[in-house]
Amino acid sequence: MDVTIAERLMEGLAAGLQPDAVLFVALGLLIGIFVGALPGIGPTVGMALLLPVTIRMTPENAVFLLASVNMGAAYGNSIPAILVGVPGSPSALLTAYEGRFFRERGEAGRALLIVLLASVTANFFGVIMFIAFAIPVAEIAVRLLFPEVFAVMVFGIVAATGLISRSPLKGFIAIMLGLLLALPGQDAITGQLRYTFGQGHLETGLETIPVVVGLLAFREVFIGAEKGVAAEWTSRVVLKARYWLSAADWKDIAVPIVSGTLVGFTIGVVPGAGGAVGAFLAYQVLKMIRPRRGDFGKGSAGGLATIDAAGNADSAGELIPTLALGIPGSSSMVVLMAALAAQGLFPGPYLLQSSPGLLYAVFGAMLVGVVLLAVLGYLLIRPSVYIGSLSPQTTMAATMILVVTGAYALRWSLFDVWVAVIAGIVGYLMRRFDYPVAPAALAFILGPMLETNLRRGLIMTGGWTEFLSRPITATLLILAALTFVLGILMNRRAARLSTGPQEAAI
Amino acid sequence: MKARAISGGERRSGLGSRLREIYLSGAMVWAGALFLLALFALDVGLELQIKRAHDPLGGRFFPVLISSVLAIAVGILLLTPLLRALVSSDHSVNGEIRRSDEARSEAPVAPLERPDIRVGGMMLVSIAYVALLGLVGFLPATILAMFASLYILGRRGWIALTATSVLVSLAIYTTFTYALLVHLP
Repeated sequence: MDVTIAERLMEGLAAGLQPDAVLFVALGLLIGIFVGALPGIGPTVGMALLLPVTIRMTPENAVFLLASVNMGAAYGNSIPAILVGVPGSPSALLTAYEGRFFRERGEAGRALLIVLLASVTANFFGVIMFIAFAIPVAEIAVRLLFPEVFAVMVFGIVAATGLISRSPLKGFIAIMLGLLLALPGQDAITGQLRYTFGQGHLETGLETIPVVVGLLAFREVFIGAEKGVAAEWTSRVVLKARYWLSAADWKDIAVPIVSGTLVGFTIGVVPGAGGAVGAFLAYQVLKMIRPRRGDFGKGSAGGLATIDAAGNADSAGELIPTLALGIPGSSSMVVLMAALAAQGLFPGPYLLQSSPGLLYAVFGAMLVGVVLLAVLGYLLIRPSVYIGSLSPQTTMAATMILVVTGAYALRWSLFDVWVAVIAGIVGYLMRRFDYPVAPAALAFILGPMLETNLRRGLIMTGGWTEFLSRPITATLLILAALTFVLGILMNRRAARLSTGPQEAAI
Repeated sequence: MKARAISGGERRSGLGSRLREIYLSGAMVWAGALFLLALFALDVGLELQIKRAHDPLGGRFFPVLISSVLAIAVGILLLTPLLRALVSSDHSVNGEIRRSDEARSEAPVAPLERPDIRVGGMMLVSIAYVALLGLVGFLPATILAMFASLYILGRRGWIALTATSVLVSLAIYTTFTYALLVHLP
């Protein structure tokens, strides 16, 4: 191994063991487990609510906090799924399906322990694979020039949209709307003002955090109001005072955890595929590995383990395209990008240049996070029963207050609060009329960089012919076009096969 | 089998009703708003006076490109139902109308049991909350907003509503003022 990389890995571990890093990781995990366990909140809203707070931190601590929230939520999702049969997110649907049998047998504590073990193991291997793949990818990305960076960004936005959106045209409109929102402020090259309409607040453009918080978090308040948030999940489960897994359990879940981790991690690296896809795929893979086992769908320990291993490995896998290439794999990763962008750091090709130690520090902090997840997860098994007794109405109303207060806290400006509220209404209307919101948020974040790289690239190359004939640029742009076409084909196939109600736009 | 042929007048009337149904739907009103926004951005973009600075594209290119492409994409979205309705031989108003008829025939429900009323209510509360923040200050505005939100979302019981509103507002105020040192309005 390269000595420099080994040294940096040690530096990363040292950074992860700093007291403030441990504090933010622990805090992030606690918040993540909590928001993951609340249906309707989830990691994206939890992370978005923390965005205004991260602006006061170092970029490293901001990433530690948000990545830990994502890690904690991947485990927290399964708590209500097992205890009351209500999944914290779509990726925990199968957990609810298998978990019901454990609950009915009075083995909810055992199920939570299996899930915790799967989460910890999957995160451990996920973090190792993250550093193994992220650094080489980032090393390549750092050599890219303006035209290639432009093409990477185009590919990232198209990939996220093509695979998330059910209607490619609406996905495309969402991207354009995001880019349009990024226009106010200063011209990318000359710095002259545009679309400011004489408003001083707009001279630096719309602030990233209020827009992203509004689009991805505030809209959940309106979605909650639309769906109705009746307190239907208040049943209590009595857990035993002590719980541990038998030798047979350990033997039963070892292979499912490994297969789930591999499937979940691979799916996590693919932008837009999402944790639910990973969980379902891992479950099917395990069924193929163990065709003679008849306990699937009847409270299978292996099934439960592989589903949660996949969900957790997915959250580690999606960090690679997000941090190394600037291509977020999910809406929660868009929030992570927003946190870095608000601090002037853009994930992707420029990250290793602007903040060379960040990827290694994330590796170190996430390893610490795995250990803390094991400890906190075990200690929280019994108290987690009480999360279910929180009123969903109170949670939803408090989310509204927190978004407003957080947006104000950013610059102590009511203008930002108005931006967050309007973005929330826009985000809700987009979701209601089936436009994907996460790609719009991503396009808004990347818009200024996209324009800068396009125009600087054209200045550098001297014209479109030279710009487009660069091999990597051309390849990435062709890949982007193919991904868009693939999205259309997948959409048509899904429309033909679809017989029931579809999931809401992300 | 149809008992008689549909006359030209009935067909035109059916087409008109169908198009009214489509274009007065929320989805199309939203798309129309996006179209107007794109046109407005395009108009502003075309008026931009930004010097080129050795830039082959110039400062006007990107805003004009984004707004015109958005306008075209939304335009396609807006025209698709019209084209579909024109090429379709059956202009009878079905589906949407039938659904709305069914909705009308349902038993009356309390306003807050209707999702659209709840969403509209929450939007109004959000806007009123931000407006009140600058007028009456954080704590009174937040307590009122919490109370109204909880009521719209279905929480009942005056004591529980008041206690929750006050406690959550105080908790958020304390956290932001003393832990995060934010000077709230």
